[in-house]
Amino acid sequence: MSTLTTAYTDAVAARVPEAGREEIAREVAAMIEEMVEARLEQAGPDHDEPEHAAVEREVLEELGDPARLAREYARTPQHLIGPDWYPVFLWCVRWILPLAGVCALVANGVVYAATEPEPHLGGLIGATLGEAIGAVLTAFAAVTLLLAVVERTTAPEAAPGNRRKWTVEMLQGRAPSGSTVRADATVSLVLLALLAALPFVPTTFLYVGHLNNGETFVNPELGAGWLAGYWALLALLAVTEAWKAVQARLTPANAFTGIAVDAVLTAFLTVALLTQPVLHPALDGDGLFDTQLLTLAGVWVIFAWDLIATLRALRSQRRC
Amino acid sequence: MSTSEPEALATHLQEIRRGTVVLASLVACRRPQYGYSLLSSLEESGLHVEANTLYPLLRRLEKQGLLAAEWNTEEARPRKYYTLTEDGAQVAQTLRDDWLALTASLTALWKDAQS
Repeated sequence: MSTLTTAYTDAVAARVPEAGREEIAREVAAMIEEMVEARLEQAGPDHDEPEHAAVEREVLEELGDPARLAREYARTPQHLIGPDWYPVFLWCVRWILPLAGVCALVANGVVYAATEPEPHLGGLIGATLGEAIGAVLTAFAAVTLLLAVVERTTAPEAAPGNRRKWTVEMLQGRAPSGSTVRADATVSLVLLALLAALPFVPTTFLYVGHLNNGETFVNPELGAGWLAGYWALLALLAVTEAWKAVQARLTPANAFTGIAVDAVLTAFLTVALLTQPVLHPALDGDGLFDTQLLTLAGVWVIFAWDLIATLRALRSQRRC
Repeated sequence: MSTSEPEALATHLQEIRRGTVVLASLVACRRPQYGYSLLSSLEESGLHVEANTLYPLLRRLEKQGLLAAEWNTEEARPRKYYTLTEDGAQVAQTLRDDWLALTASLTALWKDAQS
């Protein structure tokens, strides 16, 4: 099976219910091969590779947009939004809803932190989560109603799927798992923002303010150079995550750059934690375990986890 | 003819043919057919149907138990063969009877309108 047929089959399979995915992919592949074979037979006994490629391209373009073929296979009910506008609806759900949720979380978090004299985790969750859920539901309702109205008030040929002919070029450059890569990168960016804010977080935030009179978790005596290095490395990691989100796929370049920056950050934190008290000295109680060493272990566990997850994702994407 | 009339006609033709393709596929699958052979059989009989409509339809008919499907891996490339089931044969018979009754009704109506 050629790369193009594989890409087309994957694009259909990615859009049908998981239960029938394998069988449908096999059927679609067989359908393409049967059509290509029949046309080549009609053309004559001898045919070279470029001719085969041209016929394959012709067959794929005749079959049309994989999303449409997948809808024919899936035949899932689309009562409010019809098939012509459904891809736009899915795009909006994938992009606008998370964006609305993140914006609501950040805005309400900032307002809470700015107005609350003594902010703490429970209060932050209470102040932001309910508002974020409300924002996501409102955005969902708005998108659904808007598209339902647009579909009923515009001509069918104005629908995005009908405005231009589908070509095989549209298969390339976007992996079927693009939305997963984008979602992972978005979550990573949020976590990096939280990590960047860590040096400012007071212990009262996690209800342990009594240990150091509500000072920060990080040692206030820590040198500015260490903090600057920490933020610079986090910024580099954020750039690699944004790169993955924009490309909507994991490539060896963005994956290995991310791993390299991650490794440097881990080494940096290891040196910092082994050479000085990075955490507030008052937090190092008389417990069984050293808080600094526990933090160091956590840093390495996160690095190992991230490394394995990235390599596995890269390998599974290359297999597609 | 206004600009919207060809589109309306195309929609009506599509609707009138939709059910016909189901019946034609069931009838043609009285002997085992793989997707492309069925597509060719229908084309030769004057029934044009797009591959991207026929293959998903075959899958739906298989799910409904009207066609039985089996992969044949003995040929140069694997092919999925469809055969009419007993239930499929009964449904095809009922559809055909209904089709003939509809044709008779339409013929009578056509004659009435002309006389």
